[in-house]
Amino acid sequence: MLIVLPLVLQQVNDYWMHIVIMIGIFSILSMSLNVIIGYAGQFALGHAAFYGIGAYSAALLMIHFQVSFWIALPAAAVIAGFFGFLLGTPVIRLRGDYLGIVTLGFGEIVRLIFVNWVDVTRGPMGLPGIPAPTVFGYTFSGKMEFYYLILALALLTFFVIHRIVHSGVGLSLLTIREDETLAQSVGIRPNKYKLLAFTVGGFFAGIAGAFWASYISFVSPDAFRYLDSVNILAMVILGGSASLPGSVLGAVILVLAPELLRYMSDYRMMLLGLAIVLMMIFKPTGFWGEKHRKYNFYGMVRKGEGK
Amino acid sequence: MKRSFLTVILTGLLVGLLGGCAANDGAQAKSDTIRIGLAAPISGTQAQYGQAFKNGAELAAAQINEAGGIGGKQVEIVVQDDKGDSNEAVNVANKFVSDKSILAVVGHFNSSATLATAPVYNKNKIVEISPSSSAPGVTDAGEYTFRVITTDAFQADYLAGWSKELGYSKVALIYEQSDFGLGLLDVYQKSAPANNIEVVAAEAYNPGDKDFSTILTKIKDKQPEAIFIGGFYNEAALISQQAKKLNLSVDFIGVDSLYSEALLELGGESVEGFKLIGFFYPGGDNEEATKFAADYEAAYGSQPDTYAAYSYVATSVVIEAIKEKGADRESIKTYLETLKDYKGATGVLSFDENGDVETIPSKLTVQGGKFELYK
Repeated sequence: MLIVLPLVLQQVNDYWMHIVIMIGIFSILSMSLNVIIGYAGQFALGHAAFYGIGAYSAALLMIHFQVSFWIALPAAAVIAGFFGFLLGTPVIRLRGDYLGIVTLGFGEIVRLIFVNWVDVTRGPMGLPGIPAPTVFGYTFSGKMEFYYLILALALLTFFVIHRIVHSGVGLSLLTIREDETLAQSVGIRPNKYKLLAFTVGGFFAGIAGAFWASYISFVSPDAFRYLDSVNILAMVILGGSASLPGSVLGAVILVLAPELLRYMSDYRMMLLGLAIVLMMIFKPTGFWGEKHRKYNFYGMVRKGEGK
Repeated sequence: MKRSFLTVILTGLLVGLLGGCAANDGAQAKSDTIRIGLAAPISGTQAQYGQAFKNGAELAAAQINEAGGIGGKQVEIVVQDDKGDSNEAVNVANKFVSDKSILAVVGHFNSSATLATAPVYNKNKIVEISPSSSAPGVTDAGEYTFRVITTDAFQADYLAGWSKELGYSKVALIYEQSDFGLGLLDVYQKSAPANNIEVVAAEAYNPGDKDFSTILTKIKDKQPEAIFIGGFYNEAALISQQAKKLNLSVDFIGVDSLYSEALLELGGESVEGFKLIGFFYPGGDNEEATKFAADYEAAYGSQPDTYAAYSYVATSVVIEAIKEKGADRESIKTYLETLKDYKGATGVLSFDENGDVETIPSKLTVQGGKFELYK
């Protein structure tokens, strides 16, 4: 269905193609944040920073070093992942609110660097003229090509993160989330796994950033504000934390809803806020929250045993 | 019980959404109107400017509609909120270009939003005319990108010429540490020698600074005849007050960014004699500006600011293009390219080959707590 979708949408118009592509970008972002928040249980508030680092790295590589998109994309992801690791290293000792504040600060620092390091980032003027990806001499020009690219990237992200969280690593992450002391007592080193979560989260956010840079062909600091971090966070929470389909659903809702509500102009943001508040009151686990596992290593979990 | 309540609410919301969509699509089908897009930050931190944009553009449309529209067709302004965010701006741009009934787009407010959306508009060959994006690179973004505001560079260069007329030979600069302030400094310094002006000092401050006494003491030793404040009115008011305290008697000069009622309110007596350039000056020799200010006040009950005026002018230019060349995206562009000496509320406009506006600002000075034309 996802493969033929653009053929239908193209009949309608480019605008809807664009919205679907944006959903793809935000799905990757919310899935990557879900690793940190949903699975590792680390309340991080600066996800737009990784997105921005990915976008700026890819943009600078492509503009100044004429690197092809296909190299810039993984490079940007690695750089963003590295920053995830860097951020993770000092803040790993912090928990809960304190971690939230530090990551929030990190997000602001990154944005301020984008604004003030004028020699490299051109400050608030942004970086225009980022080339589109090319395949064997064919340059991406239509929305269709970008759609299939983001579809592939989103599926890759889904697949990789799915494998990670459903492996032993994922179980360790969940154990840390539920009880860090207990995790330590059974030989899981929380620091190692938390760092891994930050790195993976940053890595995939970097992919989304690099794609965005090439798709829009322009990056500026105002796309990576605190509000954008909160928006991604809302996608994770609304969709349901520790659930990948939930993250995708959250992205679909929070990208689509403001667009559908455009006809209400002034009230749309208010209405969206109201919808999220109601959601949190009546269904705090999100639309597609975590299903607690029915099986463990020894077979069926008996009633009352699973949390 | 809880669950069913939730279902009701969600269904309600969803039906509302879809219903709204349907209603919206219905409105778009009408072909007896001429539709112009307006992209502005209606919500978010810059909402005040977005509102000014909206008022200005809608006033221009209302005036033409009262006069019978264009060839009997009514002009409709389609407002979309870009939140001043380049992400959102690209969404808006895509929405506009895919709606075939939109003939041109007035917007965006921020330079970054204009730059981010320029590829979309240029690829789909639709004119975007920004009322307020003054960053130098904006009009290089494509041939369909225009603006009715001059660049920061133009203003600094113009000010250098005026400084010479005022007879200054030694000028000190106090500028804001931002791309805006640095840009002004750079251009002013380059234009100074040609105008026989020596820049005796250039001191930076950070936006939000409160104490300028160190900077001013340093400058006092250099004995300049005038100080050019390359920043915004909050700091300019403080600088002039602190200069008074230090018994530093010099003239102050500045550009459009100081031109705000807030400068008078904050600065009081100390800003008397400030000389600055501005584009939208009602009550002077620009009849269009005076007329616009009166119409605006009649329609909205408040004084228009510069951004409302720019938005009004941008919309009027597009309307003029449709009047002259017909309702077609491409012909609006050809009209704008050849536009010469259009009399608007922000001065007489022409576009150069880049899509940049060429206009002559008003020379203003503060007298008796009011902005007056400098004579």
